[in-house]
Amino acid sequence: MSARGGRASGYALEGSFTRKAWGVVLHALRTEPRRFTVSITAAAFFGALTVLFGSMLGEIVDDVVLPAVNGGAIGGPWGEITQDPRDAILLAGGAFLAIGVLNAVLVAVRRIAQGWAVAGVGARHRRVVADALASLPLGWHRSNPAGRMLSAMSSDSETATDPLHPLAFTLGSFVMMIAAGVSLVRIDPWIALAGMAVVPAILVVNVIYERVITPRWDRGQSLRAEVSTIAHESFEGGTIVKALGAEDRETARFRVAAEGLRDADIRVGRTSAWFEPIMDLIVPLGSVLLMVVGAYRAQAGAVTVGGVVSAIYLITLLAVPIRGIGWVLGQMPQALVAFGRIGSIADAATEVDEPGHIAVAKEGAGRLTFEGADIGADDGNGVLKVLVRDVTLRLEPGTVTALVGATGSGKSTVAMAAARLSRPVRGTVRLDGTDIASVAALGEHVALVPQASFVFGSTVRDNVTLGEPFGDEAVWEALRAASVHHVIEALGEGDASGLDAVLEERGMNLSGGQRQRIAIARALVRRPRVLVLDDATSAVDPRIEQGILGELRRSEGGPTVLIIAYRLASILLADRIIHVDSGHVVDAGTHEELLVRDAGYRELVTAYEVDTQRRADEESGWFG
Amino acid sequence: MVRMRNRPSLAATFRRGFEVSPEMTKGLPLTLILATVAACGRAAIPFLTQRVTDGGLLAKDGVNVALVVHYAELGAAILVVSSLVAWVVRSRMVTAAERALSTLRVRAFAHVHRLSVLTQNAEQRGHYVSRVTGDVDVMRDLMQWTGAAMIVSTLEMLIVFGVMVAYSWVLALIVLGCFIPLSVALALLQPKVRTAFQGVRTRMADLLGRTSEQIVGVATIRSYGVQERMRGRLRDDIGGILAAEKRASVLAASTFSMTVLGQSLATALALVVGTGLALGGHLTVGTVVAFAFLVYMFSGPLMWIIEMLAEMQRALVGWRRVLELVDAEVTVSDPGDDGVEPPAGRIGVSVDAVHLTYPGGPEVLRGLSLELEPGQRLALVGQTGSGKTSLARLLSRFFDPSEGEIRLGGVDLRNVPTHALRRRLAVVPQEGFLFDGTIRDNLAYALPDASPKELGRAATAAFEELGLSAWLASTGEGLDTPVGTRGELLSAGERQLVSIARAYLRDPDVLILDEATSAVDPATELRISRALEALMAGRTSIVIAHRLSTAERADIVGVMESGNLVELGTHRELAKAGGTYAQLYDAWVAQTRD
Repeated sequence: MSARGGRASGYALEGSFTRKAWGVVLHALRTEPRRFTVSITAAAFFGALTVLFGSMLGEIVDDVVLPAVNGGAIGGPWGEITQDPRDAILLAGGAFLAIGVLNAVLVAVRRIAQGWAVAGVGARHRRVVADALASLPLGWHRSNPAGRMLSAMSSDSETATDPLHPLAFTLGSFVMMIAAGVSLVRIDPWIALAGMAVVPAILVVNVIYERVITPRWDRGQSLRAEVSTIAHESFEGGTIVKALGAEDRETARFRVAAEGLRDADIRVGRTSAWFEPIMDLIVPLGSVLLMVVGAYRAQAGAVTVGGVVSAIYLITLLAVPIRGIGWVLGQMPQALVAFGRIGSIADAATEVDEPGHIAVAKEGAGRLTFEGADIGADDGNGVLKVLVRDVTLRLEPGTVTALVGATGSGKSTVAMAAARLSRPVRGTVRLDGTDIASVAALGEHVALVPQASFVFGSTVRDNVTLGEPFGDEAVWEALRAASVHHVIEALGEGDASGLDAVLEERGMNLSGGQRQRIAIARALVRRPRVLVLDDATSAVDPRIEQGILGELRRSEGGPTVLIIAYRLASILLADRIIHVDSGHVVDAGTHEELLVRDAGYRELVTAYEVDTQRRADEESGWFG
Repeated sequence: MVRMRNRPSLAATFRRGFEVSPEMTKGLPLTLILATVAACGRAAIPFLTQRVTDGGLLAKDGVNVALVVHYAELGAAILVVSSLVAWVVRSRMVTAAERALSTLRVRAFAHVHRLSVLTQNAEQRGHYVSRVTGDVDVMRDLMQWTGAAMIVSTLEMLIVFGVMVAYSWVLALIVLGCFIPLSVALALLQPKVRTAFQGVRTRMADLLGRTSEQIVGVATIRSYGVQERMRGRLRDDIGGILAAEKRASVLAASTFSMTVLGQSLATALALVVGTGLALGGHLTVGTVVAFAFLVYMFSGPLMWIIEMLAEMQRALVGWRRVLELVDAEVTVSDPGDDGVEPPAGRIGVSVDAVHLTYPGGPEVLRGLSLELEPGQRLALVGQTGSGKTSLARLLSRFFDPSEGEIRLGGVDLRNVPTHALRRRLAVVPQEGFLFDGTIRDNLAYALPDASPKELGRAATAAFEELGLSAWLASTGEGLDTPVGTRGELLSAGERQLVSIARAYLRDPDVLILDEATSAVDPATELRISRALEALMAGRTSIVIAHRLSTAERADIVGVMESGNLVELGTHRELAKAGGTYAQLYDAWVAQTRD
């Protein structure tokens, strides 16, 4: 359980909001250092050039426009080149345009580098989640809806990168602010003071806004989730809603949630409604202030008219980048939450791919022994909860053992322990005498077929081999043993083998029973030494189920089988039966032995009597 | 069915959208007037700059500080007032938009439940959820911010352009000219940008599909040790998304930088031509300076609008989809007050020459007729695809027959008011679906008008009468046992028990039930069959039977084959008749003799 570290690193956030925000930014910069550098550099040059553009405007007014109109001498660099006002203005315009074109190029560079960098960070988030999927304890998947994983891949990964979009621009605009500050100071210190006053004003408004909006925004988000949950549930139970005539009741239930969301969203919206205009107000007010200060300074002869014009233009230009800081900060609270959710998935992914190191010989069927094992399952929060106590069992090579008991008695927990998917807290589970925890490549010895059959959108061959190099002959043989070869043969078209047929996502073009049989073929192709069937045949036609199990039992060199099934006929095929009740092994022995000495088992079997009839129903073709 | 229609025009979308959510247009004229006022306020700065430059700074007899201060005061006042107006505008827009969206959400939700079960298949359900949530949320951005900002930005552009024209129409046209080639190029590039973003979304959907597969298969993946290979598949998808995003950002970046180019070009030209005009005495210096600001103020909103175009598209697509749902035709309509209630007391069911063809599918019922006396129990038997389930759905009026008539107590189902139908007829489907909450919450669906006390009493009695008291006690918390999402905290068999109790509490006259086929643990199986027996006692019942015992206990057995009843009679009669049923029966007998 030491897989923590490595994969999850970089997702730990601690401390104040500012520290966490900085953590998210650093994570991004470390993920895409080159692209962010290019993008920030381009933004910085853009900022510097924009300031130059602004200062030039003033200089051109002073040196070219005013002299040209009022008939004075053309000044500045232009005056050195020409004294013809028309030439001078053309020169100045050309310089302006050159800066503009360069700026457009810089914008393109910044945006592309930044787009690629942000996409790269998003891809890293997704990869972290993807890598975690198979390393999360099964208990985690049980206690978290699939939606958690899916939204971590989609919306969380997007939300966590939202503040990064304006990042380069914002960092670059610090350069712009400094350049503007320097230009302003060069024009006149008083003007600079008046002009730069807008920066702290904007930051203060931003901080207040963040404080006020964050809790309101959070509330909106949780109500949004509630609306979505109700819709999901209600539509899923659509038939029941209709059958019970509960449409109005459901609509009323939904309306309450939708109106709650509406009110919360209005509150968020109204908060932003004062924020935006205030932000839009600060800069123009700053320029008005500059006019007054500028007028006094001009009267005192400290600045030129062009200086004042430049100052006002610079402040106007600064408005957007300063707002950029607001955008980064504005999206940060949501981003922190999303980032944390991705991190918590990565942190929970504690299972090691290959924990074993002791090679066990692959000869004949395996012997599986449980020695005083208290077996626990991860509850999803990293805590092992003991579900079955004091299990002592011996599964002899080549035998078939059935686990019998009511729902929730702990049968699955025992079965999973054989595949190392649940683990002993006390005592041991051994394969041929070796503690199963240290067996290398356990998958080559033990094959588990769980209740929910896993069929993925790829070819039949892929679904059976899972990418291992099994020959087509072996695959067909496994499909035959699982009685699903006819179905697959029928999938073949023309020359194309049925093995190349592509199964739809989640195997929707197959029936439940066919999917379960493919899952069994996947186990059999590996020629396992121990086969665990955890209610893996519930949807399989009973006659076919009997065929598969009977064949397994008869075959020479077949595996040791541990099976959980609900059909009595299947249970009767077992050499030994283990009766599990409320987390304890009550008894183990043959069917006849248990019938005699185990009252609980007798009761279970009486209930199974119903099943004999049902078996007849099913087998005589009633299973319509 | 949700009809597939041609994409409606922009105007049609807005018209229908405003019709569905009238809150959106309420007070809109005033909001727009106020928005214009606010935008005018923002245009004050270049105007003031010009005045300050010409009249204050460049005054003939030195700087006129008093005049500058005067303009500054005026400017500050205009700015503050216009910000206040902008605040009011935004508040009004947010409020109107949220109210409209809430209405739209609730309408779409209610409409989904009004659609027939046919339209509510599993695949569609996911789409419906995303329409009342995701699609509406995307529109929310449009209506609250994008829409409002679009309107304000457009107004700003128009006003700024108006000011430019007032100062110098020549310069104004030059500025406009600089942005024309840009607009053409953008129009050409926009569709490509859209396709690129579409590509990102498609790949995202692939990734999510593969991820959900693997979540289902996680035990298999782990036990076969193929984690790395499965991770590789996801990484490939993630790589695909990354590549698509890169393509999209190159396209988006080039459109954006073209606006910057237009802006620079316009500023330079305005300056050159403006100074030229000033030399000829046609313009003041202040005006030339003001133009530098005006170009900036003109291109700012323009850039913004271009940035928002893609999002706007997305929102419109969302809006269209929600409206399409709201307008989807309801095929099973409620006659309401014009309907006829079936007579009180026990009632029978008759099926008269009923045909059913699913849209775009083959005919599944072919002129089927059937008469069921009050209190009789009918077991329907037949292979998958023989039409049993379709018949049961027609009887439940989940949809209507294509031809023929079904009568409940002599009244055509189409004329029975829905509320009466649901009270008189209960359906127990194969998969017991429960709502998140407690067992009690789920039973409340059967007795919506009962007080909590009455419900508790009735529920306890129901479990007693169905022989389920012992089971209820074994759950630990009894009626207050939480069932979890979809009832998943209970086993499949236990969910069935709760849905049987729910139907029992309704006390219907007619019952439609579909026997479960998948294996549940035998003790629960026994409870289910006893409870069903108690539920059906004395009621007109139609059972889709998967057990011979069920058929045996029925008054009449109907054997279905390719959309028609081929045999009808008692179990005894049919077992001897030498038909399909007799074959099934003989096979059954042979099996039990093993």
